[in-house]
Amino acid sequence: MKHRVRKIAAMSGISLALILGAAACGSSTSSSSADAGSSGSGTGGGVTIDGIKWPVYKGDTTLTVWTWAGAPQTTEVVPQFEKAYPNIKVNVENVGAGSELYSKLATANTAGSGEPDVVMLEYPYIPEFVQSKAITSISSYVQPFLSQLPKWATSAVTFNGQVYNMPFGGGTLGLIYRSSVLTQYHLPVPTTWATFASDAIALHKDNPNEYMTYFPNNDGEYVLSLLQQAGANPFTDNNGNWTINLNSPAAEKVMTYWGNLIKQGAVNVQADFTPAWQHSIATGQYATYMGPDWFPSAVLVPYIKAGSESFTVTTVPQWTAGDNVTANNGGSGYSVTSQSQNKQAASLFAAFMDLGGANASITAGSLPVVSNPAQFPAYNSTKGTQTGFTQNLNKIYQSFQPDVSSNFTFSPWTTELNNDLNAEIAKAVAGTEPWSDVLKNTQNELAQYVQGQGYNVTVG
Amino acid sequence: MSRSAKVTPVTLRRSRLNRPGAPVAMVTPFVVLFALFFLLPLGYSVYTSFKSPLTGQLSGLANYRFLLHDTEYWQGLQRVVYFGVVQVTVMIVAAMALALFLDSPYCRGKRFFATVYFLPYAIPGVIAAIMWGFLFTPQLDSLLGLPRDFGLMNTTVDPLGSKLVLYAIMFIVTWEFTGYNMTIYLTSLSSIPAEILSAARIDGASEWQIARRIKIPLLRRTITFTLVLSIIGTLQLFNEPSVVSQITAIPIGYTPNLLIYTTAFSYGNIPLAAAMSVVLAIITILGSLAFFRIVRSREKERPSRRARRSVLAAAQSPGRIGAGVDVPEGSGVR
Repeated sequence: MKHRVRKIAAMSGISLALILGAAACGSSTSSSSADAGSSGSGTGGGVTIDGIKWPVYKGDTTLTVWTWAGAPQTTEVVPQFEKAYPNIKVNVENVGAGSELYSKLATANTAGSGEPDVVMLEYPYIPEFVQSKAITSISSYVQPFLSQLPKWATSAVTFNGQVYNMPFGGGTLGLIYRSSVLTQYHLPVPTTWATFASDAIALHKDNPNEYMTYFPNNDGEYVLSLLQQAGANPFTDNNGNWTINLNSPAAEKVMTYWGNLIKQGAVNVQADFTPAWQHSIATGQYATYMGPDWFPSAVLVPYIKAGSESFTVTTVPQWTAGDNVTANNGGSGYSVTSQSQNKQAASLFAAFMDLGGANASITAGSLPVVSNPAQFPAYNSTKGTQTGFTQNLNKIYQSFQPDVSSNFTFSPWTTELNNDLNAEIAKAVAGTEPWSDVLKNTQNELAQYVQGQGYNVTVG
Repeated sequence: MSRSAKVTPVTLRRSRLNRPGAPVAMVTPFVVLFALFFLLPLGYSVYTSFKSPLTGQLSGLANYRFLLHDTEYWQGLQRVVYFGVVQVTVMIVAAMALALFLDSPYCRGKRFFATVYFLPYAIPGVIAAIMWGFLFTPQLDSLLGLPRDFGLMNTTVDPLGSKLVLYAIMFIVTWEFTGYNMTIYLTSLSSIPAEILSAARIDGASEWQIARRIKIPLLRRTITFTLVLSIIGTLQLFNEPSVVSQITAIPIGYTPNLLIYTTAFSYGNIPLAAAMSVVLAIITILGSLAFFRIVRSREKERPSRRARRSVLAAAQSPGRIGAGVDVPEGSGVR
């Protein structure tokens, strides 16, 4: 899943960091060089920022942090943290985005040394590092902050009752539509998937160059978010005994639905985060997008001319009329490594990047993961708009957060799952396999691989 | 060797005997580096391939047994074998045609064109793949729409679509390496003794006959050498599909090397990736040996034809694979 790197790089606006990352990996980790507590001279914390109380931390400490986040996280929030905790020094290292960081973390974990104190991880990849014990539970350190998080976020970072990550960026899905297109072809704004399908068929019939949306054949994570929105929960972890149930009726419904639209040509099959996809966006081939909160700034704004398009964000179409369910695509947070000698300081840092930096994030145009954003002054003072949007995107996406289906667990095999799913979808698109077999075959492939690794897995 | 004038052969021999460490000292740097960066990692890979991915304990042939049933791996291998048969043939024929043309008396601006044809090889493979990836995107390249505009097809040609993408990668690789192989052939051709060619011309041979009966047979060893390199390169195909996978949707097990990379660094399953690498290495070695044997047995099968070319045989030197032909001593013709 290399394209994923492009996505997350776009999310943090630092594609160059992919190249620069190589320069950072040579420097050594200094996590244990400053011995915590021995000098005992430094004291930090004890301050209240935006209504959140930061506990006192004693002792001089240096933290090493692996992250690919750009501004304002590393430029503003890290200095704010060092101001709140003058006794904790932070070394930020960019060792590459996404899979590049993950492979370095896995290597350091296997080697038994070389891990930093804090690592940035995307939610779908947390279970893999919980399983390999590269990261540690931070429940006892971050307990006071958990009430500040929305329910889906705590559920995304909790495994067997232990918290392994502090989220700072979400990916709540909304429906982004171009009202001009829907009005021109007299189509209703779809509130249900049934309306979405009839819109898609009618639109493509009226204008063969226009599609209601695209369906990616290289983006398993996107497909997973569609399954989550339909209420499917493919993985259950029972203290290390996993159950895979990928082809539940709820999930099958989603695949059959998109398969039908693709067979009728009403939806365009297109690999996303590719030049061709960007070109289709720029030339206005799509009427709607299932777009998370990072989508407007990272995907739409760079490719549309100012004033040429006007977008509106609303709730994603529902499977049952009157429901209000959405899902997550993307999003990440900070975990504390097992090798860290300063787990408490590292956990405070992880929490601070979301809650302490919330105001700076909102000002910079990205939404923090918080249940009550109104306590941060910037939430009400900034307009929250982007080129082509008139709505306050912060407020509209924040309003979706309580509706994220929280009954959804990622597995330790997210990468394999994505690759298997992409391969089966490619077969279905080519017509060599019915759409109704995609999830069943993906499940078989995944189960075979996972059992081959020695995992205890039940196929449900 | 400033003192060499005083040293007799006897003392030379004795001094060599006195310092038996000299050859060892000379060979040591190579042996150390070879052991450190080749044998040791190789042995470690083999050792790793017997470990269990989950527990890290030795687990016998478990990874190999899994690999035996891993259809993705074998399909990837089948794909590169097909790739090799088509792409290597096209590339070698094209490279040979270009080299013979540049070597013929009809060619003007030989140096200029030799440089131009070689240029694609000077471009890093990753850059070439990115460039062609963009040129092969229908939305970005209006030429791909021409067949549709002229009514020959219903849709735009999409070289990166699932049906054509393998051929698109073949095209990129051919574009990159034809000039490289041509340069090798051209160098070998220029070392064919001029008197052989003059003799053929005096006998009334046309340029086509000279190419077919003299130049190509004399390049046999060079061709074998480039073929083996190309076959190994194909089995290890990685750069181009890896770059193209960012521009279009291709499966992660498209080539064995791509699957090995993904298994090791995305799935974190180093033991299985090691097993895959070991199997790929064995297949590559066996394939190369088999190829050499086929070529050699063919050479033996045709003694009569070779006898007729006794003149040429004199010029043919064994062992010098790269240059293909030695200039006979004292010929003075250059």
